[in-house]
Amino acid sequence: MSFPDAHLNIAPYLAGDLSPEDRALFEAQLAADPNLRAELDDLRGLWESLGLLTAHDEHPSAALRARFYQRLNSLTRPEPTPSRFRFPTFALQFAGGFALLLIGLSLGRVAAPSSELAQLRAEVRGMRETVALSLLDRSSATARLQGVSYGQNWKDDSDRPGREITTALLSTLNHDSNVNVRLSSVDALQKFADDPAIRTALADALPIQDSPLVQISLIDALVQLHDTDALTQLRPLSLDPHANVNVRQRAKWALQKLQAN
Amino acid sequence: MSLIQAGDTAQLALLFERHHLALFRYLLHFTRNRAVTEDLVQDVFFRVLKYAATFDSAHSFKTWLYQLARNAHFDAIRKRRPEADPDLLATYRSADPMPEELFSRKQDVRLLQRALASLPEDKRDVLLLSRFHDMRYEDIATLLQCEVGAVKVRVHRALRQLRENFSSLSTERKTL
Repeated sequence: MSFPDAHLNIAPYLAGDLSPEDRALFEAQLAADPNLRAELDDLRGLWESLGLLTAHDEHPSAALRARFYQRLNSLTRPEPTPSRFRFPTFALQFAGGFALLLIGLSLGRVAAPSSELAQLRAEVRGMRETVALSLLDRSSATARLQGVSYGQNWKDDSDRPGREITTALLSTLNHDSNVNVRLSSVDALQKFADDPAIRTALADALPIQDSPLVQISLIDALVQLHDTDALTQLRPLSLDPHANVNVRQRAKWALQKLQAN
Repeated sequence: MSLIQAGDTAQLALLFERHHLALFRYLLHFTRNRAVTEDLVQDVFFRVLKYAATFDSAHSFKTWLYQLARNAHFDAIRKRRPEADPDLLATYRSADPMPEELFSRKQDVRLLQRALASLPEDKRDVLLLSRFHDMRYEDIATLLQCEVGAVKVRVHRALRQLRENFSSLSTERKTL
């Protein structure tokens, strides 16, 4: 006995997308039609093999989340209170100072000896760090986000912020009340991950975070850094019944990734 | 979405955390390029803000989101020069290698991936939506603006063509 359109229900049957009534009817058709059963068996193998394809296990880089939140924060930043007199913002004032200093550097390149140039660069770096530390201490989450951003925007070792900045970023990661600020600090700290102490601190932050978003961001960062020392923190997290289910799953995925390396 | 429609754009973060991973994997099957896919994913979420007023809460948000994703993907393709249209098999060959060491049947997995990549985009689309994105046939029908019966036909044809492509590639490998 054959049923003309029954084969069209093979895929929804395999996907679990038939209503209970349609499922019962299809199974009755299967019992009565050996050709239908053979086609189901054939396509079932293919359907299950599709599950072996790894594209559906792919994860985006941590940069996707960081860029998304930076863009979202720029949209949700409150408008400044309109005032009759326009005063520069705190950051604008320092930006103006930087600009003057950079002009000085450019002019200095022409005439100044290299030692004076190095001193000017150190002063610029010092000013940037002062701005970052000041912003990280502000009550506004937007200002703290700017502080994190200042802390991570450096081009080479001569520009690299000092330990005071990394300490402040770690403190932000572990204690800031705003999730978005903590997420941004994860991305900022990755830039310092050549320092083993920073990598250790990122892994140590895992169990003390209460935000699943931050935990997942930390896990992604540790995988990207190929930090196998993080296995110590990931194993208990993957088994912790009190942890968010998505965090547990991501920890398990991270364990597989790091152990495969 | 109702909060976003009311102007609370910060709620987009919640939607991002819920859906960005599945969206990334869906679009990756089309672009075969991680960087392009990440750009597209971000673009899609900000289209949610731009087109929030057009969302009808009577329908599935996930379906609407995937429609935005498809439109973003098509817009990105249209911006490319004609000679840069992707040859999907060539794109697959040049893509980063899959972590196949996790699987015992490495070659079969690779052939299956090639067979899937060589399906016409409309067939691959319905198969991906049904197989990997847990999208119900009713929602796929809404997304594709067709009847549920048409979705069933397309998925079945996609599976059969996938099977043919895979058999053909397997035979080709054996004769080499």
